[in-house]
Amino acid sequence: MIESLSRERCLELLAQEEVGRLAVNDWNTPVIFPVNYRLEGELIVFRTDPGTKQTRGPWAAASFEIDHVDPTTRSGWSVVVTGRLEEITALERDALARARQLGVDPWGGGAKAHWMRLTPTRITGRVVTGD
Amino acid sequence: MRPRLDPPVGTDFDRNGLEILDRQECLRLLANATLGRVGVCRGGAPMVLPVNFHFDGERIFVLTTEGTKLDAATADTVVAFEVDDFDSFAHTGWSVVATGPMRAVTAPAELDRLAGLPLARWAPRGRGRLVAISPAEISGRRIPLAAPREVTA
Repeated sequence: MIESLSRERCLELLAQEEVGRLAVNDWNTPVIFPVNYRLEGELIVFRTDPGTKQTRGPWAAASFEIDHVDPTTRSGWSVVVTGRLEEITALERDALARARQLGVDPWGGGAKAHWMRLTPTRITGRVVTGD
Repeated sequence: MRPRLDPPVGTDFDRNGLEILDRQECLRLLANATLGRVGVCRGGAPMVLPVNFHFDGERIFVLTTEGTKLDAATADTVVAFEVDDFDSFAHTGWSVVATGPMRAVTAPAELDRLAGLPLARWAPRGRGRLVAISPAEISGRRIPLAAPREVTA
């Protein structure tokens, strides 16, 4: 059975998780990256090194997904966010200070000195329970 | 940066220090996963959606539901397909991304052959359509295990 999740529930799940997948367009080809992130209000905040995620912006269309599946019960849930991606630059001192407080700790290497935020325009989620 | 264990000899790393998985390993990981995510580009806006899938060693099969963004993708739309697994405790994990064109499976013989696939749909009920992604490019990365941190009393 499949049911939709409320926006509030989607935000709760987004606040709980720490890895999601970000999709951006590299020219006309979609690219997907797993990222460590934190939720700040309704903003998805993550760190990156210079590259596709950073340079597609500012205000590039992006999509972000988290999910969880229990293979034994064949149940699970997913949340999909679509929105706009931009770098939090040094010009936004307060926003950058808040982002730094979130404790976004990328598990991979690299300096990841650039802070990015995805501002949602749409948040949807669904829960799937075993047949 | 955290201290890291010495990697096995012959292991390649990217500029971010992630282990580059070879094609064989990517194919093995793809074959062992059942939940993936499709990234599709629609009118300039990317969309990422979870899907159940089956990989037969050459193509990735997904059952779409009529009316969804994925189903609206026209023939030969280039999509990205991702599988991963992460360990929150050890702060490690891997991901594999395949990129290639997606086409509907329409040949009756092929549909018959694939009818038995255990492909649950990750979307509300509706008419389904079997699509196949043919990976033109496959790449994978693994986060190397960090060396155990020193514990101070």
